[in-house]
Amino acid sequence: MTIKAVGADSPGWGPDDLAAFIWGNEIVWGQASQIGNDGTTTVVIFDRSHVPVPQDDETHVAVVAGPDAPADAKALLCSGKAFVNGAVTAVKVFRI
Amino acid sequence: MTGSECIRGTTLFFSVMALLVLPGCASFNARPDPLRTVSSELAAAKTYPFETAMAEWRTRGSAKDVNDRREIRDTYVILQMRAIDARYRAFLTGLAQQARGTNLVLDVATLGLTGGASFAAEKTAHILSAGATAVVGGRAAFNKDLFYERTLPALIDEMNAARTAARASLTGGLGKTADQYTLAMADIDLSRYQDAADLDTALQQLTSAAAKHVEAANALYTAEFKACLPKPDVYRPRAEMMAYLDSLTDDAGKPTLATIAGPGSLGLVLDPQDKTPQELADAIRTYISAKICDVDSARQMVATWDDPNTLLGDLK
Repeated sequence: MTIKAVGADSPGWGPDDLAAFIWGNEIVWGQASQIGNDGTTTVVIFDRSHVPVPQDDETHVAVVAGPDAPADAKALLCSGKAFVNGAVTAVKVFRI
Repeated sequence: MTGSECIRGTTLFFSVMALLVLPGCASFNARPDPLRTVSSELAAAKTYPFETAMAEWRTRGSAKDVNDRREIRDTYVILQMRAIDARYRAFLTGLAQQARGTNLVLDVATLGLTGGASFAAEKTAHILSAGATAVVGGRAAFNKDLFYERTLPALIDEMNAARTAARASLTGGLGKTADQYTLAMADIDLSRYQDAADLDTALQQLTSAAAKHVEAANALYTAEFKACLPKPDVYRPRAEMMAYLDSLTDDAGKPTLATIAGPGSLGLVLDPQDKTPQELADAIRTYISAKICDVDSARQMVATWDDPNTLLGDLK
């Protein structure tokens, strides 16, 4: 397993932006395995042993700040404290 | 005897006395005495060994005996689990008492002379090696803080996690019929449950987890670039670009990757000939993560890429 970390361009992104950021980079680097922050922005670690291939233009990731999983969640990818709208927030990242 | 020698001798006397006396009174209970003692639980388990349970199981082979078989299985499993749990609790208590006793000896020893401290260190090494040889290994000098104050709690956590996983098979099995979860299957799970309380195995798990954490920490350190916010229409183009890069990530594809990443094109790498195909491809991936966030920028990027296998689809 090789892994790669990528920082988000903006700490002010909301949950949907983070989801797009994660899914857009899963396609490049591999499945998201950890999420956290480096004190200034969100950092996501991607597992390069599995790279998902998109079949459509949908974002197949949901970032949720609350305890509930989305109704269409298939798996919990990772959880941690990320920047959401500029504040460090506990989030869960789901595959949808 | 000089004055300083006298003081040293007196200190040595009290240190040695403390070492001799304290281990005897260093053990104290951190919990009430258990109602279910190890001996009583073991005695109960021995009244119904596997051979007896299996013999009864075999006498009840017809369909109408299925509930009897279940009762035999459940009785055997519960008695065994209680005995295993009692021994595990005693094992943990023993570890905790060793930790407290050892710390007290060392704390006193640090107030005394070197000789006393050396004695205490040897004693510590002996106690540790008796409990977990793998932890002590070949190191002559062993820091008691490292093991009892930091490592041991983590090892106990590992053992508890392994026991919980093993217990799940047992408790899940008890909810099934005797045909679905036989006595033999339960006995195998009981062995796994008992073996889960193993310091050596826990240490291996802990070492593996630590290695993963180091790997993760190293990966975080590589987060030296920030990725843009991609629009949904770039998801599939990005995937096509990845397929294209993957097809070039070998020696045959290196010249093409070098051309894309080199000074004459994107200028991501100043000396592409010195890089591996993987390093060149990763430099291009990083650029895509940071800059290629809509389909137009993707088209612009691949405009000059030679694509004989049409991996780039309609981007070209």
